[in-house]
Amino acid sequence: MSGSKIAGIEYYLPKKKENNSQLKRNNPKWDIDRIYEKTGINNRYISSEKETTIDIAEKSIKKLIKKFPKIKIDFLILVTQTSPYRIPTAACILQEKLKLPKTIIAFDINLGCSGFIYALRVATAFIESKQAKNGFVVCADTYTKLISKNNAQCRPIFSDAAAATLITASKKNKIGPFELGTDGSGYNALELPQGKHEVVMNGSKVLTFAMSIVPENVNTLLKKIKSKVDKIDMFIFHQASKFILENINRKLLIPKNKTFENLSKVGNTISASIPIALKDASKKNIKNNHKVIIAGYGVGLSWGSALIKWEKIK
Amino acid sequence: MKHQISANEVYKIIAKILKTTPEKIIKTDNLTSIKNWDSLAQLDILSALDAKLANQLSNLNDIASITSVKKLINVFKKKSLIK
Repeated sequence: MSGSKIAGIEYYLPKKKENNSQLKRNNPKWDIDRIYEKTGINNRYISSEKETTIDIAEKSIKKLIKKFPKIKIDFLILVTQTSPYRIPTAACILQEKLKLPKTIIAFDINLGCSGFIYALRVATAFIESKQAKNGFVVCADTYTKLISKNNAQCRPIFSDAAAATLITASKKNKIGPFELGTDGSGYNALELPQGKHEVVMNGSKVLTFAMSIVPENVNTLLKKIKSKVDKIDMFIFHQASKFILENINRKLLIPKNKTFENLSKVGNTISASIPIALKDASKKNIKNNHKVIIAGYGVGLSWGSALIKWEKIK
Repeated sequence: MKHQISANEVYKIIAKILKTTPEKIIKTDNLTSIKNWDSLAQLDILSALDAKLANQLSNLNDIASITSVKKLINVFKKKSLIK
């Protein structure tokens, strides 16, 4: 069986930014300071009217292709909930746009904030089973197209972004084990039913879910790897909101120096948030051979965590 | 041992977050009628009660949507979280 590693991460953020002052101008009655205190988010990236999820995904992958020959790519997994197409699969369109080999496996995964972990599991399974050696996991969403400027629950939080991660075979396995889970009874905590054009979120439900499931999930992973919080170098969780991250860290008793936050700068970028955080953390906070636990959780309800043994990325 | 909280402590915690008095919380049918209540305050209430109960709150189903203090106390009683 072959092991896998994260060999590279690149991300793309749309040019247009919306900061909290702009948010306040659009919503004079909102208490922006209080919203910032809870979300920890000051900037959100907004895709332009003509800029689709496929466009931003393409831009993030192009950055990685500069560092790795596309001829060697065996798979492309696109994690998105905002494809401009219901039919066909957006990953197929990306294969053509990027002129990737026609021999690649390409498909979409419809998941939100847990999506990176799920896609990583699928990618490593392809490599473990020798079906593939190298591939891209691309997480891209343009939620802001489905959130009006006065949606108080969602507008201060969600941000558009794409992150492409290169997964390659490795003699020593650097990714896993994983702990994944689902609870569809909470499907309406964050939803966009067919025919509607506005994402609706129940913040309290999302909070109690995150407070309950994420610590339990991470503790199960720690037991599986026979480890404890103090033996892990860094915990990089989905950047949902400052309030949620603080509550998760409080429950898991994770010291501040082992956590990472970049949500003030980029907002909650759904499935792209973990790879973007990994890329940012790799510049200073995480080093070679560090043990990093990543965890994603959200819409579905769906969640997952994994252990990463960090190796310097491209 | 299970951590417990008294009803008075519940009123005090909620009152502090909503910047009012425990007496007003006791008399209120629904927290949504209090001036300073909003969805962000509800998150603060959940987090503060959970911290006081040593992380037991998130094990309670549907607690997130409860804005009636009486209902909240009843749920806590059923779960033996009230002293």
